[in-house]
Amino acid sequence: MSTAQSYQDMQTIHWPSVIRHFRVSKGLKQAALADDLGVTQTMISRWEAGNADPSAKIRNRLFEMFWTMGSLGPQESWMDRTRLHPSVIGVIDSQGRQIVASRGVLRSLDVERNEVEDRLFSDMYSGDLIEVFETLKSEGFFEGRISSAESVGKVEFKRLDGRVDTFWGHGLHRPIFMPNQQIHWLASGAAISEQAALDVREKLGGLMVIKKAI
Amino acid sequence: MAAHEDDGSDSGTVHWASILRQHRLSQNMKQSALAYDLGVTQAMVSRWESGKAEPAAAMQKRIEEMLDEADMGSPMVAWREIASQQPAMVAVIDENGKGELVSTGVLRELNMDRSELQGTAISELFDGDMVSLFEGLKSSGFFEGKVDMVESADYIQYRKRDGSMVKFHAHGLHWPHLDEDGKIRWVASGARVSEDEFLSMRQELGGQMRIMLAE
Repeated sequence: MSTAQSYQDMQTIHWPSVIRHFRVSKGLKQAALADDLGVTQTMISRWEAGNADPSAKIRNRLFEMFWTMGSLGPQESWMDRTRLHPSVIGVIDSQGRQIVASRGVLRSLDVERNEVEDRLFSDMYSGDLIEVFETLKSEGFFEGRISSAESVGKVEFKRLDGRVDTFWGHGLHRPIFMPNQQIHWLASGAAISEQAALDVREKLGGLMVIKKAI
Repeated sequence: MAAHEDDGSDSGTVHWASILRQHRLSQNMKQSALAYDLGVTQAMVSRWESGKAEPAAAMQKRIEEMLDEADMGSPMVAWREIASQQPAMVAVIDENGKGELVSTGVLRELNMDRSELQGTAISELFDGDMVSLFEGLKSSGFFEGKVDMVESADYIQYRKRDGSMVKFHAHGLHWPHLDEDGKIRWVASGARVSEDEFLSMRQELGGQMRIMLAE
């Protein structure tokens, strides 16, 4: 890993949010995380309060532990599994580029992998899904400030031949910790009926609800 | 701006003022409520938060314990919460075939209430492929940690309370989750597919399921 590059990327991460999100999502007490990282509980508390910044070593450890703890398994095989997945799952980077599309995505859009992977969201979609991406971005999702978000809206998929497919989608959005300390968007969802969409919209009170990490 | 600290050294001053204030605001508490919890006066909390006084050593320990309690989501709650919130079909099933939780997506596909599905055994709810899937997992040592992942193509037949059957084709992906109690749970996820897609999955998998054993 190039030191210069990782240094640049680190500037964008909001560490108090990332540490707190990581800890709570793994169900750890401050003392337990402190133990794992070999620091004091007070130090964790100070990192989360923004009173101190974790060292480069600790930052790397946290991004590694995201994968080694819990049920995701190693990062490489996780990516392959996600591609196999029957339900709708996507991994999108901060530029809006689709890194991974599950089999469920390909099926529900009736496309081949190369028609969605490595393409920009803004080239593929219009309407609510673009607004979801823009909102996540402006709320600091890619800096780690958001622990989860739920959305419901019209998905407008722009096919290569110019036709637009429209359907209702219900989505759940979480951050995922990638190499070089980048945070990507893990989007999972389902196509739903209009009635179901209206019910979810009423529950959410709008297009989306965002849960901040802090 | 936060000070840069090395991870090993913890010799810097602890900013009790901001730690306390941050905790109190995050819990939506008044100073008087925090004072009550800690067994001190509200004036004392106010002095700590303004930095005019520092909590004594014993009180610092007490505050750390309080922070730790408050910051705790109960173990694995986050994981289960996310699973049950999923718009797609996800279920967590125990080694006895009992459904522990089902996602919003499952409720939608089966058109059922959560209470009708959670806590009920698969064999009571399903006929056919779901039952043989569970048996297949069980006999391959899934609940003993011998399996890494399973992919399946299933014809779901679900028996509703009024005796009628809901039937559809599905493509499933299943993996073990080692839970807090040291036992393995079956995380089942999937999606409804067309009959054609189901048939081509059956061909691809060489049967109802393909079991990938753990190394």
